This record gives sequence, structure tokens and C-alpha cells, in this order.
Amino acid sequence: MKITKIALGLFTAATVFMVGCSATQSVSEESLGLRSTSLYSEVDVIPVKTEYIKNAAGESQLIDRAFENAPPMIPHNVEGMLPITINNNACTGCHTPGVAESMNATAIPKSHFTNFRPDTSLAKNGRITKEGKEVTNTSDFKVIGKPLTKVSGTRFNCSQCHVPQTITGTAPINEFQVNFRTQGHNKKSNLIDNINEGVNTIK
Amino acid sequence: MALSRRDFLKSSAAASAAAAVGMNVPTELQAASKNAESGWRWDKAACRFCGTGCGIMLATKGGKIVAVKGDPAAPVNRGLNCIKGYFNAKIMYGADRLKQPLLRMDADGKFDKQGKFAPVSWERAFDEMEVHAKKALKANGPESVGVFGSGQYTVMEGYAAQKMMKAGFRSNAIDPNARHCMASAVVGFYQTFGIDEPAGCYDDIELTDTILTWGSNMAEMHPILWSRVTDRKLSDPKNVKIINLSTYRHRTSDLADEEIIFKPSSDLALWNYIAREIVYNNPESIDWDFIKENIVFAASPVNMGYGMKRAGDKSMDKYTAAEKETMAKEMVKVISEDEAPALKPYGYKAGDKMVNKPAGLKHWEISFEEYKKFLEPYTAEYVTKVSKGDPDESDAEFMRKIKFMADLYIEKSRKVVSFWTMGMNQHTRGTWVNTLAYNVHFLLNKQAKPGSGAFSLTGQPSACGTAREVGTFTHRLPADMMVKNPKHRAITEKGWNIPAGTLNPIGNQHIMKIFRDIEDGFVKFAWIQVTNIFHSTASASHWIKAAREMDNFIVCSDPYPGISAKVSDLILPTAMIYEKWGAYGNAERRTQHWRQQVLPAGEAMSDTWQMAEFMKRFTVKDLWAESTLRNGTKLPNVISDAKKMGYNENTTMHEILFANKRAKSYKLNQDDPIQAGFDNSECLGDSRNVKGSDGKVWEGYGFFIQKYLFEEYADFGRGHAHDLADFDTYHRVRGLKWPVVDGKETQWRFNTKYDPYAKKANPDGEFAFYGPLAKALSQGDLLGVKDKTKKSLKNKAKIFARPYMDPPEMPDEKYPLWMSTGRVLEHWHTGTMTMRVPELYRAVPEALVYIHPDDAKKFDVKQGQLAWIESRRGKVKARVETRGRNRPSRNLVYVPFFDENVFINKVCADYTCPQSKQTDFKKCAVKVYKV
Repeated sequence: MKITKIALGLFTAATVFMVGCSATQSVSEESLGLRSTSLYSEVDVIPVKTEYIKNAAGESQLIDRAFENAPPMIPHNVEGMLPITINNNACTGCHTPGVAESMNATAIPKSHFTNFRPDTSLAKNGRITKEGKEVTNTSDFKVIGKPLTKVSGTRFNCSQCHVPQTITGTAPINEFQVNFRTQGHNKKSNLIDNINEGVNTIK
Repeated sequence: MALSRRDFLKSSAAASAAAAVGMNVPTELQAASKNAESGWRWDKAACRFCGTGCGIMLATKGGKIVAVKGDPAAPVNRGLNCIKGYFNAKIMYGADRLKQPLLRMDADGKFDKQGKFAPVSWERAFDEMEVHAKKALKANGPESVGVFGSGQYTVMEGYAAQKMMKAGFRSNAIDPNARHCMASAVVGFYQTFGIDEPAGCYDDIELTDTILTWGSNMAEMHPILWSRVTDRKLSDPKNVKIINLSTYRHRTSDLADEEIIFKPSSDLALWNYIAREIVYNNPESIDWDFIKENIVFAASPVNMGYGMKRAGDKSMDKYTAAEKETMAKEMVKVISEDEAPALKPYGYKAGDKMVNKPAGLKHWEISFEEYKKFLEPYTAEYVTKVSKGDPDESDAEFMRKIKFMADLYIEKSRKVVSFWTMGMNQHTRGTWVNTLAYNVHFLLNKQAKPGSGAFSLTGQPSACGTAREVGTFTHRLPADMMVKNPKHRAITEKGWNIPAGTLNPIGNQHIMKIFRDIEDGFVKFAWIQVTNIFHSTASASHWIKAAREMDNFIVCSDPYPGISAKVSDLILPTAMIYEKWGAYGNAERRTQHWRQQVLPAGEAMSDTWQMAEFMKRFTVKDLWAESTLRNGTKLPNVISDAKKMGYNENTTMHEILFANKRAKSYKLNQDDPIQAGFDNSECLGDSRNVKGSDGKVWEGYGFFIQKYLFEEYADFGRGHAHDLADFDTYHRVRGLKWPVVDGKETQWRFNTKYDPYAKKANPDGEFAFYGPLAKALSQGDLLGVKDKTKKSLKNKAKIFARPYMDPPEMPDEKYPLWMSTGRVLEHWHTGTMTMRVPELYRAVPEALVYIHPDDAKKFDVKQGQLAWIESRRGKVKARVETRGRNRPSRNLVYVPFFDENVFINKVCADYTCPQSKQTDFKKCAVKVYKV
């Protein structure tokens, strides 16, 4: 097999090097993956600098959702808004429906005002119950969506799904192909309408 | 896909007879009809990431994943995922997916250890592996062929790896990255209960009113469990109490009623303090009926070292004088002022030399009076002195907090769950501290009950399901069986249809041992599977150097080129999670299966296929002749026995282990509702027409290999308190918690009301701790065995006397700060998958060094600027963060390990719990200074 060496300088950490790679190319260790400097020395390596979007809340541009009903990224700076504590959730101040519209903020959707977890308790005989009914297996209880007047406690920690984005560094290329079934859903959620869609996986 | 309520209920019939409840979401039907038009197919799967084991729904269109949502039917997460869970959608589509095998070659196309990587065919890749594996076997025998396995293997892959190694190569040099993650929890379970894995389940969260997190940042590392905790807390904020115990402030403190910051390793003292509060100050809170019926007290040696290399071991010349300062403690250490009170009952005083000896897992029974004597030193004053982790907090305040905590445990009507993860497992006394957790729950009879229990959470998605239950550890066989036990080997040999005497009885090559064996030049062939182990192992500089410079051949199966791939000689492109059929088992014993959703990228094939194909290269005569292990043990020649079983000298291990009669009985059938419409690249081949291990187009095994592997594996546990349901059932339900007996899962083990095995073991009692391991003990006191007669403790569990001890490396003048490593919410382990998702990358593009503002000032480093973090082992650069999500007190810094550019494992030390062999990633001494 004849090996033709190729110009490795073309390839940076985030470059798509394997695409179209034929049997005649060879690559060095350094040109693979996310670290472009030698693994055996730390002298030359410079970590990417974290610098989050500077725009203040209400003055930023909505980031398109990654896919249908993907949790939206935070398009504004969050300094001073975190941590979320039991007595202080700064996010809800602007994102609560009714307030959000006037603040130019995305309103918390209905899915967050719904309790999908059946009530769990013990029957008098000690057996486990879901919504008051004894279950043999906890997965027997299929789906439920109980409307809530407050944001569900399960969704109180906004930062477990919604994160700010840096403007520095080059994110590695990802070839995921976005497919929104309904126009406009790059900007909003309809999860409450289709959360149960497809749940019945075996007929 | 129209979905009527009637259809839906009908479909659940196979799962159980219990009534399902209707769907209250009004637009369901409308959405379902829209779905039919869009061409999306939804199917269920388990999340790729942590040990929580959330259910996800995946949508595919045109052979690609197009969306992910939380599975509303999954009991674990009920329609919610964390950010990583949602981005399962994108993890398989990083542009630098490996699509062909890559081999280091010279200009003539020959393998060259110094060469660059060039693409080769699968056939060439297996040719090369065969040559080097055979060379290794010839040089040093079966122990020189190793596998770095994983807690992220599917159940089937882990089982295939175990068969390949233990039956095929007769090598026990297979150990998973799970060794780094929960080995201490496992030894804790074995020693306490005689059987592995938690008694409780996640429903405990909704049923309890007190949650304590010990060395567990659940808010970031088990976010969905944390969302359940949060929901519980918010449902009754006054009564439900949360206490977070940690060595530094993190997000789990944000919702806690109290936060207790303790010095690294002093959780040992805190647990013993609570036990002392119970025994000395609240003796009426002890449930003596429970204790007498179910518990014995036990002790073990304290001078057992720290799992480091010992004087006289090979390759000591490769360690610097600075490294050896810490390593010297493996042989002998001086008792500190802090340790002295705790070690007084063992006959030590401050300044004494403690000579360390490998102690193994030895322990013996002691009296309650001895245990009480052991607890005596742990007064509030003493514990505050050794444990208080925030130098800016007053002693009085710390004492108030720990008393508040002890009172919550003790309050009779209160249910209490103690959760822990890596803080208690990655610990040079990890086994000890795990057992101490059960002590407190046992004394109060708050264990194995709804809403109460000490609950070890696992880190990885199938650390329980695969690494532990399948037993992909050096010393284990399926279903809690051990290689050293001749009966267990015989059962396994029978189950695998291999000759008696095939299995190797010596299982001592835990993961650090395999690395050290590579450094010593002894292990000459190593295969990395479903892990980025050269990135995630401490003292990393040694291992990357050993991989490159020693005479060996390292193979790395990986979808992306991480650090492990880069230091390897051959990289195999591997199918990712939703590109294959699989199953994971989570931390509440829930086994969850999924189907292959899409075809693998490029020419990637699954790990199962890679192993099954590799085994075509080895025959009975290649692997089953006599060989001698390095300790002199002889593995007998079993070839003639193999012939009696109908094999011949040239029968391949592939035929014996993976394509045997039973395997072929699992048919492929597109009329089977489980299989209909779903790909199976291993069994059917696929439209990519990948050229396989023989250079011909891969057309599939023609039988259902994943189902075969699952069913054969599950047979080992059925009837032995590890019962799994059948393969098809798992495709119809959202997981079941084993043991699954008569179609029913088990909510609380060892409790006769819920666990049929407990009921059988103790029909008239409330509990039976029926695990069979170490269930006969000699008698003695804290100092040792006094009466060697073994007394049975059938159905009983143990409370252990285990003292506070210092870790082997602590801050001093040269290295004045503690350093801890771990994860962040947005990235999984080494970031190999998540750093390739732009949203996750941009959320946290680099690992920061989290440091107290006063320490930043003191060491002259500034917010946002680069600093060196240096230990005795090495140094890396990271940017300084003084006001981020982690807010350490003075004297400690935290640096996550996901970032290849901040290769923090070069700084971490590879000392381990000497019993569990799990590395302590949570504490070493460093200095921080500006670049």
C-alpha cells in the first residue's frame, strides 16, 4: 500500500478530517481529536477561553432550538442571576407567562406547568401505589399530565437544561440535521401537545 | 402513528395486569396523526449518560436521529431529561466520527509503533491484532492480554467481553473504568450485605422527608434525581430537609437547608460522630430488636496502606523523588495528631510509625462493647477539629450543623435517605466509608425500608447493569460469582459450555494493576472498549508514556479520537449507542433495553461484533493448552476435554462462545413485533455493505446474537436473587427492577414485605440480609482475631468499626492546597461525546480551576487568567474562576477532567482504596501559580 503524506497543517482540532479520508492518507496523533498540541507536554497548550454572550436579558437575540422541542439555550448574560436557590429563582421573574411577553423573554411553556409524575405513596398494606392504585411494577403506570398552577418542582432548576453560550472558541462541527415539522418551532415549544406521541412503541 | 387510549392500554397487557391510567393531554390524538405525515418514527431508549438511567424517546427520519424528548412513560424521569439527555440527539453526529480502522504504519504500509495513523480494512485490523495478541500470549501468557472495559458497555457487550477474555484467552486482565467509579461501593455492599447493589429505589425520594447528600453533587451529576428531590422539597419545604455534605460548595448546596463543608477524607469521622451520638447520647434510639435479629459488629486491620506501588516493585526508576515522597507511605506512615484519638483504641499514638501490609478483605466479628469503645473518640469537639473544612467558619457553627444533622437521622418519626457518589467511593478509605453509612441506618432501623436507606448512586449508565451484574471485573463472574471460587468457576464453565478447568482462578489485574503491568512491560496487548481510560486515569503521564514507549500493542475501539485513541497503535471505529441493540442497568437495579435506531457511521461496527469477529482468529489449540501464570499457578491443558465436548483443535472461539447451538436458536424474524422494522447490523448486515473481518461484504450472523447474549447471561442470575425478565418483556416495559420474580419487580431488597428472596430466607421476620459472601466470621476485638472458629451469620448484615485516617497526601508548605476533580453537568466524563455537541461545548468549553477569591489573591492568580496547577506528579494550565458554580472554601481547588486541554489527570494521584482498588481522584496536594 502506498502511503501519501498529506499536509497536516490543514487540520485543526475541530476540523472534519475523516470525511472523505481515503486509503492513501495518513495522519499524526496531534491532528486527531480536540487537542492539537502534544499530549506529552503542557507547555504549548492553551485552553479555549470562556466568554459568555454579553447581551443583557431582554436585549439579546433568540437562539434557534437545536431540534424540535429541544430546550432553548440562554441567549443573554446570566451574571448575578445564579445560583437558583429555594427562595430566589431569578429566571422565573422574567420568564413567567404573563410577564415574559412584556419583558421580551421566552415564556415558560405549558410542559413546565404540568406534573407528569403519578403520586407515589404506600397503601395501608405497605404496597406501593401510583395515583392511589397499587401497581405491581412501577412501569405499569403509563402516562399522566396533571396541570399545575406553579412551575413544576421538577423543573425548578432551570440551569439543568438551559445554559448560556460562549462566543469564544470554535465549536467542533456537528452534522446533525435539523428537521422542524412545523414552521416556527425553531423558536417555540409544542411539547405539551406531543409529549405522548410515539410512546406506544410496540403494538 | 394514531394512538387511541384503547390501543395504548392493549399494548401494555404484556407488561402486567395492573390498570394503566389514561392520558390527560388533550391534543395527543391530533399530534399522533400529524406524526404519521411527517415520517418520524419514535422509539424508546435509555439515556447514554449517567447512572440515573432516564428513559428517552428518539425520533428518527431517513436513517438519522432528528429529535429527542424525555419519555413520559419512564418511571425514572417522567418526561424530563437534563441537558445532556436531550443532546443524545446530536452525540453521534460529530464531524470527526471515526469511519475506518486506523493503524500506525510506516511508508511501506507495515505496522510501525512510531508511525502515523493510516486507514486500513477491518481484515487488516484483525490480522494485526491477531499477530500482536499471539505474540503477547507467547511472551507472558494469558495475563499479558488485557481489556480496559466499561460501565458504559451494554449488558451484551460486557458479557461478550467477559467470555472472550475469561473463557477464550483464559485471562482475568479485564477490568472496567467502573473500577474508578464505584468499586468501593461494591466492596462496601459485599462486606455489609454479602451481595452487591442497593436495597432501595428512586421511589424513596417521594416517600422520604430527609435527604442527605454525602460527596455527591446530585444537582449536576444526577440532575433528574435532583429534580425529583427538588420537587419533593418544594412540595413540603418546612418538613422536608436536605443537607449537603461536601468538601466544597456546589450546586447541590443551593437548595439545601444546611451545607456541611468538611476536610477531604473526614467523612469517616462525621459518620462515626453520628453513630456516637446514637450510641452514647441517644441510646433509646437504637432498635435493639432489629440489631439482635439482623446485625453483627465487625472490625478489620487499619494498617493496610493506600494501594500504591510497594518498595521493590518494578519500574520504580520511572518515578521522581517528589512522587516517591507520597509513595513511601505505602510502606510506613507516621500517626498524626489528627489521627491519634481515632487510632488510640487500636494501640497507636501520635508520632508512632504504622507499618502497612496488604490486608485484603479480612474482617472478624467483635462485640457491641468493642464497637462502643471504638466510637468513644468521636465527640463533637474532636470531629470538628478533624472535619471542619471551611477555615472561615467557627467551631461552634460547625458543631451546631453536625448536631442538627445527627438529630435529623435520630428523630424517630423521620424517614432518611443518604445518597452518595464519588466523594465516598473515590477515597483511599472508600470501602470503609461506604460501610460506615450503613452503620448509622442500621442502628436506627432505617435501612431497606420505603423512604429510608443508605443509597449508593452510581456514576455510569450501566456500572450496575454491566460492570457489576455481568461481572466485567478481574475477580468476578456473572451474578456475584467470583473467579477464585471453584464452585463458581464450575457453574460458569457449565453455562458457557467450556471444559472444566478452563477458567483462570487468579483475578488480581484491577485497572491500576493493568496500567502498572503495561508500564512494567508485562501486559503487551491491551484493548480499550467503551472508555477513554488514558484520559480518565490518574498519574496519566506514566500511562500515556508507557503506551507509546514500551513493547506493546494498544487497540482502542472508539467512535471519536480521544486521548486513548491517540496513544494507541490501532483505532477501531465503533458503533455508538443507538446504532446497535442494547441494554443498560441503572442505580435502582432497573434494566432497560433499546433497539438499533440507525445504521452506524462509516464502516463502524459494534464492540460485540468486533469481539465476536476477533474470536474467529483463535482456536482451541491456540488458547486452551497448558500455561503458567506469573505466580506459578498452572492453567491445565483442556484440549482433550474440549474434544470430548465435541470441539476439535481447530474449532474457533467464535463458534464456541458466540455462534454455538444455543446462539443459533435465537431467530431473526421480521414478523416478531420486537424486531419488525428495526435494523440489526451485526445479525443482518446492512445497506452500507461494510467489508468484514475476512474482506468480504458483511452479511450478518443470521441469528439474534444480542438476544442470545442477554438470555444466556440472565440465566446465571435467575433463581439466585438476580432474576432478570426475558428479553422481549424488556422491550415492552420501561424497565424492571431486579430481582424480577413471577413478572414482578422488587422495590426494596432484604425487606420481607417486598423481596421474595428475603421472605423465603426469613418467612417470619421483617428482614433477611441474605447475601452469601463472607457470612461466617472468626471472633475478636479491635486489635485482631481471638478465636478462629467461624461463626455463621446467615441472613445478617454487619456494622463495621472503621476509624478516621488521614489520606496519604495532604497540603503542606510546598503544595499548600487540596485539589479535587470530577465532572460538570454539561459534559460526560472525558467529553469525548459531549464536547462534539456545539451547544454543550459552548456551554462549558474549558475546564476551569475553581478557587476561593482569597486564595486567588494569595497565590497571585486572577479571575479569567491562566494558572498552573502543579502536584508532585505533573502540572497543567487552567483559567481561574473565583465566582462560578463551584465555590470552594479557602485551601481547596476543583478542576473538572472533561477537557483534553486541561489534562488534570496528570496532576491527580493513583493511590486507591487498598480494599476496592478504586482511585482517589478527590484529593491530592497542589500549588497554584500564575503562568
